[in-house]
Amino acid sequence: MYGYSEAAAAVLRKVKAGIGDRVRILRGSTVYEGILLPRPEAGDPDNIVLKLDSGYNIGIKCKGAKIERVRHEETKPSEQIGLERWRAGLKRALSFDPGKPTITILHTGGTIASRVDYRTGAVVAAFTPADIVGMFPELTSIANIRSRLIRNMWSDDMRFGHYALIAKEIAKEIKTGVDGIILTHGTDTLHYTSAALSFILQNLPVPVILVGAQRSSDRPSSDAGMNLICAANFIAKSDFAGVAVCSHASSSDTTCWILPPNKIRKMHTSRRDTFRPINTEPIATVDYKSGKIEFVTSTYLKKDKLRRLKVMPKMEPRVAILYIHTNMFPEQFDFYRKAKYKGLVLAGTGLGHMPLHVVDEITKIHAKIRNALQKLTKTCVVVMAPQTIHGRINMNVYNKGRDLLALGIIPAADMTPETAFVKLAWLLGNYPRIRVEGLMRKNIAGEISERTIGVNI
Amino acid sequence: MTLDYPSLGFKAGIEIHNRLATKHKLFCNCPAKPLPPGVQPSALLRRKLRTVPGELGEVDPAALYEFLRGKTFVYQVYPSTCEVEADEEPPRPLNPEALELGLAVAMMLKCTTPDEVHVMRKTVIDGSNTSGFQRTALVGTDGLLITNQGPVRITNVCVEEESAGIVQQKDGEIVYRLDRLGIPLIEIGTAADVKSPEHAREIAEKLGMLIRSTGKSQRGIGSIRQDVNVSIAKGARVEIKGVQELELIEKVIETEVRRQLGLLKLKEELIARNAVVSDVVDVTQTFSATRNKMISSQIAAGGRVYAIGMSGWAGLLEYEICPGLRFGAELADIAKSYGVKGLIHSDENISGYGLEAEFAELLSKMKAGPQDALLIIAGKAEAEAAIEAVRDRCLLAAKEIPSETRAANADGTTRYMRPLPGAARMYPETDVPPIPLTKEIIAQIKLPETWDVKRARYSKILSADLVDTVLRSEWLDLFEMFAKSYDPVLVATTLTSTLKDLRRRGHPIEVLTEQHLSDTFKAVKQGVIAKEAIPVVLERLTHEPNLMVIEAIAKAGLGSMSDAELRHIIRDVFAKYPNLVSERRASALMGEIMARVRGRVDGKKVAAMLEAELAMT
Repeated sequence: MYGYSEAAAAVLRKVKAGIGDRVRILRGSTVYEGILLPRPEAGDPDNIVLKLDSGYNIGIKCKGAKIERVRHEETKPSEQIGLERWRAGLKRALSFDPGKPTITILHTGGTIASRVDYRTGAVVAAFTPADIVGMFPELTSIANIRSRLIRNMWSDDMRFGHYALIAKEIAKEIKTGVDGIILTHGTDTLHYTSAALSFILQNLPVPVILVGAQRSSDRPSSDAGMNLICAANFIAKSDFAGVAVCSHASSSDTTCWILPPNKIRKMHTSRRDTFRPINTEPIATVDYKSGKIEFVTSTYLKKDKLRRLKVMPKMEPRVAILYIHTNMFPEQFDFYRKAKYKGLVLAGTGLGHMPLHVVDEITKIHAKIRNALQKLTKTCVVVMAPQTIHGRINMNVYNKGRDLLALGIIPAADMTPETAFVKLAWLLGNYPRIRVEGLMRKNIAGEISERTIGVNI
Repeated sequence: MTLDYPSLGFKAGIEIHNRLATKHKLFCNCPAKPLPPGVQPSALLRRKLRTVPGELGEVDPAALYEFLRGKTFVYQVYPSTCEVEADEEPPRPLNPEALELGLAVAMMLKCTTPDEVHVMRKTVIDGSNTSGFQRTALVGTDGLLITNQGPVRITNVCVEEESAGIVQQKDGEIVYRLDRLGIPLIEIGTAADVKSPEHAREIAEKLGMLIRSTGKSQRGIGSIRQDVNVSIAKGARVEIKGVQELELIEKVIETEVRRQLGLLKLKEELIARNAVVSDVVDVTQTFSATRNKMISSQIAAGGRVYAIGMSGWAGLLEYEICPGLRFGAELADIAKSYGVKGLIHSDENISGYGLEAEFAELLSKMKAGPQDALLIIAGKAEAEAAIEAVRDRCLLAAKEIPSETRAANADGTTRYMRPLPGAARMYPETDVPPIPLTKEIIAQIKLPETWDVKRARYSKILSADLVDTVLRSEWLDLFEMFAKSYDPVLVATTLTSTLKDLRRRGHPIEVLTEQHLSDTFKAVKQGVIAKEAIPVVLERLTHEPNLMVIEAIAKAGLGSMSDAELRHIIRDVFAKYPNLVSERRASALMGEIMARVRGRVDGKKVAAMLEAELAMT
């Protein structure tokens, strides 16, 4: 019952005390009175959690304590608690204004849609879409906001099937003539999804902007509001079309970056400015306060609502990333052959290397790795991407690289391992192998740059 | 006029906050010590905060108020701070050292400790916490403090995060420094059992001593702060925050009682006059050609002028609610909290502002008589919010005294801060798991020596007077440390009267380190300087804290004096005051000689040589 142990639940049941009821607990000479709360996941489930009148929560052992119910309160489902006030003003805010552009916000869950769950005390994705607009009413002064939940999930649970689902929902919205789409998404794998959408959604007539947050929306310091508002401003006020990501440019709440979907990476576990462009620059910046947009690049697809969107959602499921490290064994490569993988991205060291050469007794096993790799390339497209993240693969510099090229390993140029992985799966889903190898080396959606420009790392 | 507190229905409670001298901060491993002044920040962060509904659904009034002000917060990042203070990393587990100290204090106050400690988020969106909340945990309830005026109930002992220190505030921006954010604080709250201002002071002093007895209390300006909750019959609960000096508590409470009495009188007067306040009107047009520079520049910058007509209010805006506080000033404080420069009203000398024509025009439009008043505020959006808030406050003045949070000024008066926060401002800190307090953990808590034991121990080495002074001293922990190796009386007087005297004379004693003090005592013990030289050495160190003690001694020309040098001085003094010598007035001569010796020789030695020299003449 509400996360409590059987012993604690039994005590509570006996006095008919439910969540939200006012209860009194007598322990020795001390009397605690407060509102009965559900048990958080962590801690001792024997301890009953009360919210005292001072606002503090405390835990009291059920054993040896005398409990009585003071007053019964009708409880509301947790997702309703606290949000009615916001919703009241929402209906008005969501009424249609023909003078403003229309943006659809599609939600997939994640921290941006998270709040403290009253029942478990944990941060869970529990907002209905309207609540997000209710929390950030400024959105409605920028555009007419439509809002829909596609899935409520942590982004780590995303599979290729979700990319297809998201693409389908986006296509549906675009058909209705919206001026742009914001996709809210957990940050952990946001860069995989944005890369996938950059291949799946071809000839986009309008912008599709992915937005996440590193601080949940129930915190006063959440970055969700600024990311959403900047994304909405960018859609409403720029002529950009295509997939992009909108996220904090720095730790300050001053500027958002509009980032290319397939040349970024989550580079910090917790900071607001976690998404960094890799081997490239942002597409544009958006000033939070003024909404002013400044483009960094001038070569982008322009908005054209008459352009016909083409959706190519198929992806080969059996593709993986293998992180190269020292002291590897041939079985690590045999696995992918035996499990019938169609594509493998090696996150290689340096310019695109891995253990391959026998230099002494200790490295004799490397001959077997070479054999395993050679066998693997017969049935699986093997791509080399940089585990250094920054910089370009160049397998011509050392004979190690030249050997790998000779084995049929395809260099991923300046793609991140994640982008190379998504692209390989998408190519294998849509093209025969003979074309995949060529297309892997070719820029399709901005994922490979011609020149390696000097950027801060 | 002295106040009869019991008959006024006086009720008050105290909350004291004391920084703990733990090794690390409460939720990260940064040093738990504010940086000395003058250290430059390594980076600046600019942030915004939003209001969010609490766990039980209500929007906290204090939080909503701060959000509506739309401030930008600038945070100074220092090398001694990390991503946790910057709200860029989740908190680490609760510092066990701080928890143990909190539990020790709770147990000394005979509190009940919970079986499980839950860390809470207390919504505070004035920017003093980067996260928008202060993390706090209740570790004790239901305790008792014995005072001279009877027992006082302790309602709560909490361990919580210190806020960021405010650096400056201007043009809708508040600058904070992050070095202080996250230092562990202990908070002790009493029930409304305080009987009088003097009693409040006694309680605060006793609680301070109790925390200091752990030996882990920080000292120095701001390291201990008292908040008081005051109300009188028909008045309201008003929380006054940040009383830093113990000496001010009585004054602050007395002033607040007088303020509430004054507001009650104002209320009666408003009712008697049937006073009312008009809606807010945009009167920018009237001021389009004003001579007043402040207003014309506001209009030029796109601002507006807003007014309220106040029927029956004439004279009351200048009414002195309590000594040093006019109602108009109270309204101005509210207005300023929205970011406007101030307000102008018709009880003031309007010609001084060059606004006679405009005020006359508006008053005549209002068909106002001599009994009526007018109030204006100029500015952009903040001015409209400010005048609405001022209007609400005026309407309330005829109904009740508002519950609010006020800040203590250095002179014992107070100023408006924000509405009183509700209980809705607490919700669980989900990033820190609850901490079960098992019997084993509680049994391990080391309680410090009780005051009686300490007193008995000190009585063996110090005079009765000095025992009392040391026990009350904020330097108690250092006394314990130094009295083991050096003369306890010398240590005690140095830590109490010498330092106090230096502070009174305006020397910044907070820069002195333990090393400074211990090296100084060592120098006395080794005969490098006389004990009389201690004030001179410490004074120099307060201004040049980077000096080593031996360098300070050398710079002050305080190296020990040779016998020959001393004899020379004595004979010189004899030559100057032959009368004193012939009359054998040793004490007068001693004074003159000691002044010249400037602490370089121990007084006993001077006396001995003086006696010997006198005997020879």
